[in-house]
Amino acid sequence: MSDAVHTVEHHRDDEGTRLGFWLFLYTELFLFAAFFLVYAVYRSSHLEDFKLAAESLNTGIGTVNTIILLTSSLTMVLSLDALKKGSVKLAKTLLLVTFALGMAFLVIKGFEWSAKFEHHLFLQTAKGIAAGHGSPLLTPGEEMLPVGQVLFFGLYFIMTGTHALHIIIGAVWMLIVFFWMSKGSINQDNHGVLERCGLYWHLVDVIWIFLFPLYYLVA
Amino acid sequence: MVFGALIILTIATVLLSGLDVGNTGALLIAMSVASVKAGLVLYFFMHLNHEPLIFKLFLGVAFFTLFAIFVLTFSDYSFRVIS
Amino acid sequence: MSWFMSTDHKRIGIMYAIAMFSFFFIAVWLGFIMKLQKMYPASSGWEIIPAELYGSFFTLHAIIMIFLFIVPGAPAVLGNFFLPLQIGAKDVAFPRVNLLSFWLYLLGATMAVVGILLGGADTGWTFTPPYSINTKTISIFGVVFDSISWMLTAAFILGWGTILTGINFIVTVHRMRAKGMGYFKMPLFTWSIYATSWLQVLATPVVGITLLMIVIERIMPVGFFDPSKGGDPILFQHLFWIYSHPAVYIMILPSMGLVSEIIPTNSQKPIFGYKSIAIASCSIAGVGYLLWAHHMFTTGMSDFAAILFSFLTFFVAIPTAIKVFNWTATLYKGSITLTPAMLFALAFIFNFTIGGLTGMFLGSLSTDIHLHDTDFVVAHFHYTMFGGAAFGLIGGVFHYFPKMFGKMYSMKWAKTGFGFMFIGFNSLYFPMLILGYFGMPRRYHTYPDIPIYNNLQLASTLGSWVLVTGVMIVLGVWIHALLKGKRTTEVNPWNSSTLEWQTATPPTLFNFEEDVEITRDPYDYEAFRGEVKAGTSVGVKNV
Repeated sequence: MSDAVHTVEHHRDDEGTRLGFWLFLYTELFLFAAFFLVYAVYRSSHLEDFKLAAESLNTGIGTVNTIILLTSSLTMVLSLDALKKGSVKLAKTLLLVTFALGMAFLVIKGFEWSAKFEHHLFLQTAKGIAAGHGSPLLTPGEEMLPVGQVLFFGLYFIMTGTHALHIIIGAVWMLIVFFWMSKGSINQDNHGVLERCGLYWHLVDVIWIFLFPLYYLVA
Repeated sequence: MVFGALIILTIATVLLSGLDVGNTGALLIAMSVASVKAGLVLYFFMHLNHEPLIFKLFLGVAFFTLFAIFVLTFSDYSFRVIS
Repeated sequence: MSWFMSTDHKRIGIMYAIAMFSFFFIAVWLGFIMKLQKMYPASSGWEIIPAELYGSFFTLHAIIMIFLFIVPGAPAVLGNFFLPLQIGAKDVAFPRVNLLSFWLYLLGATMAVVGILLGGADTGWTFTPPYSINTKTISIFGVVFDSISWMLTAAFILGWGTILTGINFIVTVHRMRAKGMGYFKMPLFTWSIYATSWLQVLATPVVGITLLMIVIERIMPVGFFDPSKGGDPILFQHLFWIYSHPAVYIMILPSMGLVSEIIPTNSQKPIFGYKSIAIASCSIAGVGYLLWAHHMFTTGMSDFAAILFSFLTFFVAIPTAIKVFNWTATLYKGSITLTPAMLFALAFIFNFTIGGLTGMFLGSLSTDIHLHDTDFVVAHFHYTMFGGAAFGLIGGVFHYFPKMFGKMYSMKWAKTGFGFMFIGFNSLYFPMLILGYFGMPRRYHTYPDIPIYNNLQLASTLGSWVLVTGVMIVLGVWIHALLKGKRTTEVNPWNSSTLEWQTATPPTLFNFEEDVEITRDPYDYEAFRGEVKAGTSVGVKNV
């Protein structure tokens, strides 16, 4: 066999590619499903502790973040619609807005997290809290959080962290798509990559739709 | 539009969480609202409504599998006898 | 180098084969040493490897066999090579993703081997917490190296390889069948690959993230499964087996598909009950997803769950038995040729029946209490995984070898290898069924000096020598054929009726020179013989 590139000419099958991509999204969904299952099991056996721990999460901020992400889903699908209709400039603008909203989500999350770290709510030792931040979680002098709360916070950070990682991946992808749209390789007739980026982003949104009530509305 | 519905549902779920319906009730309400919201995103934003039947079949397989995993796992946890 | 960058499904299949069988070779010898260690009881002064090392040996043996050999297994080698050919396609749906899958496999495999060499893992391939969370492994070079996390990451990467392959095959089956090939005109190997792919896509992510959770728990005090932080180790086992049970169906279904190809071909008649085998493949996959906790009967989960899972476990026997009956019925009044492939396929039926039946004892709660964690379990899964899946894979390779490589192997030596393997295999594992019944625990490096143990262990070890000889002969037959075998361009040496045999030997880049149109069932041998006579299909004339 020759040493030339040994490849079959790639046929184009947009529907097949979408089908495959949906399967990929299901694998992502199942990754998160495992986390949700762990959450569900521990919540069922430590409900009171979960409720107590959740009080330290700010429902207002969570709601704002939810609305930000839902809005970004909207702008994302509008961007795709615009591109399908041939309005490249509008599509690019909407994509940038989506990106910005994603960034906003991350920034807010970052603030939330740093507040938790300040209160040493990540590690189960609670010296910082016992030193008098007045958290409702502990009586002064107590060294360790109850296990239910330890579980809650461990899950909280890992799940929102994994979710944030997916936001970052989605955001980077958007930048790449934006670049290719500027080059013209993603266009009205060739919008598959933007479409898939959008599907990915919507999945990230769907995950958050479930994360939000489970963490912020427990109390 | 769909977006409007999503926002309304978000606000609704926050307000509903304050209701005194017991733990299971609150969870049920929250998960139902979340499911409706997710369904809207899947169906409209992700264009599942325009896709051929096979896309919906795949979704069905995935959902059923998830459902089975949760139910079967809780067949253990809900029935543990702590002595 | 062009091979390493090739997106051609046939080359990818061959690259997988070389890698996988190399790893298989290593793991076989690990098994040989383990059996050698157990030849005589320790009280007689016999020790080949000490207990701690034995732990690493069975961990590594299992990790290689499961993650590097049997799980990629038939889908990676024969699925990659023949799925497109069986449905009349030029390649899989996503050739570049296919190559990526292979690179991920190679990366994960390399990581796994390096990890073992540098620090080892003695947790068993099941990585059960809390031991897997708390155990530290220090590398030989004095640098603290978290080889457990390393191994878990390697497994995670390997998992992505199989997930992407699964996605690829599902879309290929749905989108790339030739004209006229409805779903119930697809060959049964394709059906088995399709069912397997769904398991790969929906089960692997769960274990992937679960293994990462162990890594996270090793690094951060989060308390997923660590009881000291409120975690439940049984939850890990649930999540682990949610994949690892479907994984065994990932391992067996493709080999069943291969048996479904080999038997009609070597009986020269249609397979009995084509539709029920196709549906049974999907049923096994579907039902098999719901059984996982039968690995956990003795862990302390609820009695209700134990009863439920035991009940569900018995259901999977039904579609499995349907297949066994259908294969056997196919043989009836067939024109049987005992090619090496056929020998392995028949051995599959024998071995897998024992494997499946012994599974029933394990699926039944009361007997499982006695048999759990004994050599009975080890024998059971070797009967199914080795006597079943691996024998099926080897048979498949013998079946498809001339087509893949355009070389023919020595029939005499192939059959000799089979003989050694079949006799050796049963001599090695059947005693272990009895040993387990008499209480011999698994993963133990020695045993008390009791006649029943001594005799059976000795017999088992001697059986392993015969088996390993057989494996070496088989591998030797293939290597010899590749290097010095007789060249052949015979298109359809076994006179098989399915589409993949209508390609050149070996197939050209685009597989089919003309567009294919299907007009008959895949195992309609009468119609096929008519086609051969008329010259519209290639076969062995005058059969």
